[in-house]
Amino acid sequence: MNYNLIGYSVFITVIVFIIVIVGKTCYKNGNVFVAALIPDHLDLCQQINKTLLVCYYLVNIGYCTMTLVSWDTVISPLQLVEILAVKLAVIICILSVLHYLNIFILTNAIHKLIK
Amino acid sequence: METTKILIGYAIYLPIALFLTLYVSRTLFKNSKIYMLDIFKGREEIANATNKLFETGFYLLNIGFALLIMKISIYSNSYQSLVEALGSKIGGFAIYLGLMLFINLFLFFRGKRKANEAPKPTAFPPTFVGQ
Repeated sequence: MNYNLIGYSVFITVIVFIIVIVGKTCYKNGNVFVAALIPDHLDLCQQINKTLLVCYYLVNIGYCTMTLVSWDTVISPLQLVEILAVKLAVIICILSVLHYLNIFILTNAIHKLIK
Repeated sequence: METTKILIGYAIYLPIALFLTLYVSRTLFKNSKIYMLDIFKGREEIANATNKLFETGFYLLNIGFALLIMKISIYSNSYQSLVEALGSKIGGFAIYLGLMLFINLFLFFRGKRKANEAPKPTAFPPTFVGQ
């Protein structure tokens, strides 16, 4: 029984799920903000937002799959749970920092727009 | 066996941490919409979008932290030490959640105060004529 392979499959499944959920939420709620950037061209803004979403998916999922290289050899179920938790937590924390940065920038920009 | 006890500990800790996060963020963001509407001067779509984005960030931050501090290490192999370790873990996480809640509330109040202040000066500097 190879615990590493189980760990990889669980990790990839969970992290792709989280990334897709977060991306969908940001895409849906970010339309308002992106539409305010170029006021008269709604379809153009939607295209920009879609491109941003695809870039986000590519960067994040690519980074997560790259970190698979650095796993230790897992020898027991206990170690499997622990290593999974830490790896997932690091990725989720990076995502949350990026996300809050985005909110901060967007709300600062939007305050100038609505005034 | 020691490993099974620690696994039992994880199986108790994870659902409790996730449930606490869910409950706190539900309560917070159900009530924060009023503040958002006030901050963004009644613009409903922007207020809703910002509220949703904050909620996502809150989930990410807290679930990430809960997973990060999950590792339990007990030196004596008994249920007593397991319960003690679990107590300190869950208690620490609950205190952290409370702090996060207050920080978020503080952000809302600050935004409300800033929105109620006098509007910012215009982007163009005033021009002086006739000198």
